[in-house]
Amino acid sequence: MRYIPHSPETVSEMLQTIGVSHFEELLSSIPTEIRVKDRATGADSWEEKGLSEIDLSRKYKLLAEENTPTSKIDSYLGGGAYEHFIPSVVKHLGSKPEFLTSYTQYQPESNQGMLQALFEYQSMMCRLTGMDVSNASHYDGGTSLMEAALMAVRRKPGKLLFSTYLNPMWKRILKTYFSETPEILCEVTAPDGVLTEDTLKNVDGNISALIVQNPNYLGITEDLEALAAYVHSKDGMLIAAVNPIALGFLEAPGKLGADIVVGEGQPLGNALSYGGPYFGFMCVKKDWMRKMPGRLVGQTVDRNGRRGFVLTLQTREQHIRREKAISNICTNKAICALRAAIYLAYLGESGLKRVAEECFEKAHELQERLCQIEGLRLSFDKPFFNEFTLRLPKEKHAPDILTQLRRLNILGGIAQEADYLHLSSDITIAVTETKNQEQLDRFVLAWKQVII
Amino acid sequence: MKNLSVKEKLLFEKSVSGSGAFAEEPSKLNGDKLGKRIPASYLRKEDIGLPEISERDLVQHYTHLAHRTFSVDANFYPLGSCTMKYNPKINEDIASMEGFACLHPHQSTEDIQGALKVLYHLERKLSFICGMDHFSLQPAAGAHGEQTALMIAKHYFQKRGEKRNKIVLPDSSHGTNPASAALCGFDVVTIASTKDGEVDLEMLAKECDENIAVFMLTNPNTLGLFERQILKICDVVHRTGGLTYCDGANLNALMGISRPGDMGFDMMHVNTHKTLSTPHGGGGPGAGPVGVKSHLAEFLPVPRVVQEWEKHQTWYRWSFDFPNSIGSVKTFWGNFGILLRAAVYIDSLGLKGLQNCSETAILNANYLRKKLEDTFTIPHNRPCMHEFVMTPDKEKSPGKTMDIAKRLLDFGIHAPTVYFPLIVKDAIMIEPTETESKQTMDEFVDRLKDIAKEARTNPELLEQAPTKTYRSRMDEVQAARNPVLQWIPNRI
Repeated sequence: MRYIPHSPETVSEMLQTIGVSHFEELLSSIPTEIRVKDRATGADSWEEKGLSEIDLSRKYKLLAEENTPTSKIDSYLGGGAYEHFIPSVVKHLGSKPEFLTSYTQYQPESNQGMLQALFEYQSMMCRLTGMDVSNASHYDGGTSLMEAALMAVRRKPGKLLFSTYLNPMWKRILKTYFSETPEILCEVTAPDGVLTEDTLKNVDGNISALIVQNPNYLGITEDLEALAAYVHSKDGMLIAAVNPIALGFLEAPGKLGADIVVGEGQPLGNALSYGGPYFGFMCVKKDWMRKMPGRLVGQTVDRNGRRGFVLTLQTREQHIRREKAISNICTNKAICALRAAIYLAYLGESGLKRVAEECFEKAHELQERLCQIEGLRLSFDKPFFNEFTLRLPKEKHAPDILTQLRRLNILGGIAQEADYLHLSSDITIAVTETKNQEQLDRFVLAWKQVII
Repeated sequence: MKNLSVKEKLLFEKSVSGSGAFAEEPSKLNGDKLGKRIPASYLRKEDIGLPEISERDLVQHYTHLAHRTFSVDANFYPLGSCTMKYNPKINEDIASMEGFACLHPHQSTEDIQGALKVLYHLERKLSFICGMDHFSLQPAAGAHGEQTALMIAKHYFQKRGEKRNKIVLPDSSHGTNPASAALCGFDVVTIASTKDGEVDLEMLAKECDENIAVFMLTNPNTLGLFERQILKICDVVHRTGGLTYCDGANLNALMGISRPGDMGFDMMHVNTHKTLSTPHGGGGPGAGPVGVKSHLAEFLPVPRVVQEWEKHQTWYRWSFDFPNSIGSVKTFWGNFGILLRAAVYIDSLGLKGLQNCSETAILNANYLRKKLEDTFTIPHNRPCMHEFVMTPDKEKSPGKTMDIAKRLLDFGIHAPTVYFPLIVKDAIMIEPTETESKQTMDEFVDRLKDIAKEARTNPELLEQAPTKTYRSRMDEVQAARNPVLQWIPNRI
């Protein structure tokens, strides 16, 4: 039998050692009425026997062919997941079986490799975000934001403010976790596409935190510094949810006043993989070190005085503190964080800047050219990074335009009407460094065809 | 700075400005364009501080790190409650097929039929294996699944107009159980286990009142013992209107043998990174699908995959049309790449194969239990399921649990889970899994017996262990007292 090494003789020998004549005797503590009797009932088209590796490959190859991957079509989809180029070293080093098939580092002496890699990840994330402490990863951007919100509410009960243009999926997660206190979730309008003091000051009562996604869901960059100053004046925290690639040239949120920085880590070397596994990052200022959830790797020495690494400050965690723990998180996204570390180390200082600049440049070139087409304009004329939102002429229906673009083998963007009633003719387009001039030309041409 | 060899240095210490793969390429953007489109105050004033390393050195760096990491591929990993079974290579190949790995989560239904089909059928198969009616594949890990299930319970009672805020669990439970309960705003009541290591029915019955929301239980429990009173346990909880939750961490003992749904559990989670062979990844990603009986299905997270018959063919799509759902617990649709590996694994074995896995896992654990019972103390020495708990024996293996664990590392064997469950003092929890051969296990037994002998004759050896690993015992107290959580130049 596949993946099981025993021959029938070995099994008999082992049963003999155990001192039973038949395997069934080992199951005597299970009441008979709940033993599985008939395996064949109820399974959908499920093979009774396992598939050989050849058949398995064939089956999943056919299933894969029922999909249209972004590798076969020009994709301008963003909205929280971005198609960046993944260098070969990231794929090869990030999938090394020693890392992939190891467990959480409860025995540091035998896991120095993964521990050091995670320590380096934490160090790079601190630099990227301008914060003091990074945890070793979270489930994804949305859940790390939710945990940050919990931290804020624990510090000071009060309202959680966020823009209407916060990622709608993240809003859903907040709504789920705060379902018993929905009144603290406070969605703030952004008539110009960005958060401003003007609309924020309409919110009264205690403010726990202001959540700022930067760039926001429409791609627009927010004024973090001004927003931090505003929320601090109300004794609230600033939670910044950022795109890590944009930090290639955008100022580190820690230097602009953010108290907690979270985000979706996928753009850093992780495959699109239909939405997961991705990883969330969370970085805080030093004061928050003992209040943050998630694994932390710390530097220490061994008995011979040599530098080494361990999981530390574990008294925050569930396996030590049980119901008094800060969070229930156990398994997180270590290998995704490792890939991010390899990606950042490979690009280095100049490489990350280059990737960010290319995204910026290509997105702006495309936006300028598209806005030259009659009837197309920016929904909000505001600074953006690599994603922008276009408004079509009123009579055009955004989903129809996207369907037409799809017929030309282009995934043109995200129609916003499903999440925003007032954006019924708006499409958000994301551009990354993966697009070359020819593809951009093709996209502009396609738009000219479909918009007439 | 002490003299570190290249092998020991951190990325930052290896960094040479101008040596990175992109160092030579000048920025194509002139500051003007950035400046025109983005306010200067939004832009970085200083360098980030990322290392610059050549591709060759980077490969060497991570290869060295890989060599310093114990893994299932290279080592026996008898870590109790973690099910460190072999992770088949074909799973990785299929997950990296372009048709899966390059799918964007915002692609429309027409472009992702294959992916949705995989998810839909995985849900059905998990339901069948576990005796549940429906599954949500959204949760990212076991603890995330627990939390999701407890939110489902909350909404269930809310809809019935009941206010119940007590979660009851045995003192043998995993730490995530009480932590998840507290996170969901429940009060946690821990009940002591019986001398036999099982749920104390009388104690449980006392806690079963109009205030009990959920009883959480791992079965087989964390001693590796099947709860013989499981039917009565579920019954006593149900009689007062409470719900039962199965922590599925130990599902590897049950496939094709007994189903949590048939035992009377209303909800459960599955750890794909344990039972269904998806790699642990040094601490994730995993996936923690949540299964429920039909009376709780309306509360499952959205979106859910639905199957339809359209234009003479089967059609799959996401549906948000479940008004009583708790909402979403994660961005997008779940850890698709991991769920895909789990689906491949299930298909590679079929029902019969899965049953064989569980049976062999039980066989292996009992074999080790029997081989070790003369040298160590086994507090609950009766046939176990897929794992068992032992402790050092005062006479025959007088070492400290931690010392024994560390000494195993010297032999290239990962330590078992230690000091858990909390109800057994100095516990050593061993789970061999079905993929380990008799030779591997025999060697493990021999090493443990050698260690027991060392404990009797040369206890210092154990206290000093490990000595053959890359680092000797780490000073964890210093790490916590004076936390250094990122690289600081010249600090070693």
